[in-house]
Parts: sequence; structure tokens; C-alpha cells
Amino acid sequence: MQQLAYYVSKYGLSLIFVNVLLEQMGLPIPAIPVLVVAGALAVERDLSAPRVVLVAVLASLIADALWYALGKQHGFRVLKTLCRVSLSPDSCVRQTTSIFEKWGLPSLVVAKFVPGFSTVAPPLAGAINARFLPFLLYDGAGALVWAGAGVAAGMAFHRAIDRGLEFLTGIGSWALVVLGAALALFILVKWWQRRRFYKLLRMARISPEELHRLMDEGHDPVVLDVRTDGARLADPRRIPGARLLALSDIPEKLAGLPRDREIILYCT
Amino acid sequence: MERGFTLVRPLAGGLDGWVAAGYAVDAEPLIAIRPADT
Repeated sequence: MQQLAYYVSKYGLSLIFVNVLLEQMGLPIPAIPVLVVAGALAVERDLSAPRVVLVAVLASLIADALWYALGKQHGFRVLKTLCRVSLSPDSCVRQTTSIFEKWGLPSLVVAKFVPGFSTVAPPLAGAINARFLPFLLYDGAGALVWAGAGVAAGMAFHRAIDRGLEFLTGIGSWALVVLGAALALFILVKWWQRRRFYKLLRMARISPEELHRLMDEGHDPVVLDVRTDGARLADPRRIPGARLLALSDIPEKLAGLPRDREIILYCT
Repeated sequence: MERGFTLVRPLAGGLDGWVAAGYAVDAEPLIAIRPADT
């Protein structure tokens, strides 16, 4: 435990900075476990809790400011790329755009607690041309609440976490193998979920060529533009003959759609 | 996905996929602009 405390006090803050930065950049390396452990170690005074929170907020702000700038420069295309590499595609653009349009910049305060929203919210703020200073303030408040919650949880449950750390110290270098295996398993499960989701999606989708053929052959499919208002403002083009419909209005408007024709939905 | 309709399907690639395939799009503004008071 003495040795672990030494390494934590020497490299702990750098590790937290890199971990939070990589997670906020979109890599599937969860930072909360590290923040919780840092909180537990802060009770034993191996680390300073305010410094841990400060470093986490700083790393988070750097990554988010970068995503904001990319969103501002490349618009909604950044979100599509982000969703392509994300391991949580099911909680991607459409859902997060809706949350952001409903609550605006204050949604950044809780963004880090919502899976998928955390990484997508900053480029989204840039894409809709939100002002940088308010973005930074709300995003910083969100990072403070998120990192503070992680560290506070660690401080509250420090006894249980200390026992876990003592066990890991006891098994020596095998501890690294256990932690590495846990991280690899986490990434594997997320990747498998993503693969299954895309497989389902591929089976259900219609290609542009097939839709064009349906239109040419006079099958007259009903094409629905279900993009959010923000996405439509950013790109006012639409497929000829498409009707506008918000996803949230579908249950209400369902009765008005013809039942004998194929329905095609499209987003950005 | 069946909801009492013949078939409901999402378009692969969305609007960008449609444009990339080279098909035409309507480009008129989607939000009605009130004519200026005369």
C-alpha cells in the first residue's frame, strides 16, 4: 500500500489528466473509476481532492473546447463522424440533438452524466454557433459537478475502495493484468453491442438507390424528414416530396399517414 | 419495423447518403418567411 501511495502521489494527477482528456475526446476509457479511486486516496491524503477536481475540469475543458471548435468549423458532419467511431451509436446524434435543442446550453451542466451526450454536446454547441464564453461557463460547471461527484463518491466509500486497492497491491504485478483485462472486457462488450446494433440497422435500412427506384417505378413511398429543427436550419435541402415530421410527433401524426404505402424516414 | 403499415424503413446514410448517390434535392427554405409588410 505504501508503494501504491507513492506512485499515486507522484503520477496520480498526470494519470487523471490523461484519462479524462482521452475519455472526453471520445475514447472508450471511463474516467469515473479513476476519479472515485482518487477521491478515496484523498481521504488518506495521498492526493489533494481539490487538485484532482481541478485537473479533471481542466482536461475536460481542453477536450470539449477542441470539439466545440471542430463543431463550429465543420457543423453537423463532425457529429456524424463522432457517431461512427462512438461505441454507443444508439444514443447518438438524433437523441442528443433533441436534448440540446430542448434545454440549450444549461444542458451541459448535466451532459457528462448522460451516456453518449457527454462527447456529442460540445461539437453540437459549436455546430449551432453557440457563443464560446457561455459554452465554456456551462461546460466548466458540468465538468465541476461531474468530477466533484466522482471524487465525493470515492471519499464516501473510501474504506471499501481501500480494501480493493490493498487486494490489488497484494497480488503485485497481477493487478495490472486484472485492471487491463477489466478495461479490455468493457471495450469488447461495447464493441459487440455496437456491432449488433449496426447489423440490425443494416437489415432494416433502404439504400438511396432502392428508394430512387421505388420513386421511379411509381410506388410513391412516403418520405419523412425526421431531422431536428437545428439540423434542418443547418442544411435546408430535402429529398423531393419529403414531408417534415418531428420524431416526437410520430405517435400523434401516425393516423394521418397512408397505410398502404411504404414509409421511409431519413435524418442528417 | 411494422406499425400496421406496409413497411417502415430508415434511409441508409440519411440525406447525405442520398446526395452522395447523386440524386436531386429540393433546396427551398423549410421555415416559412413572413412577407414584409407592405
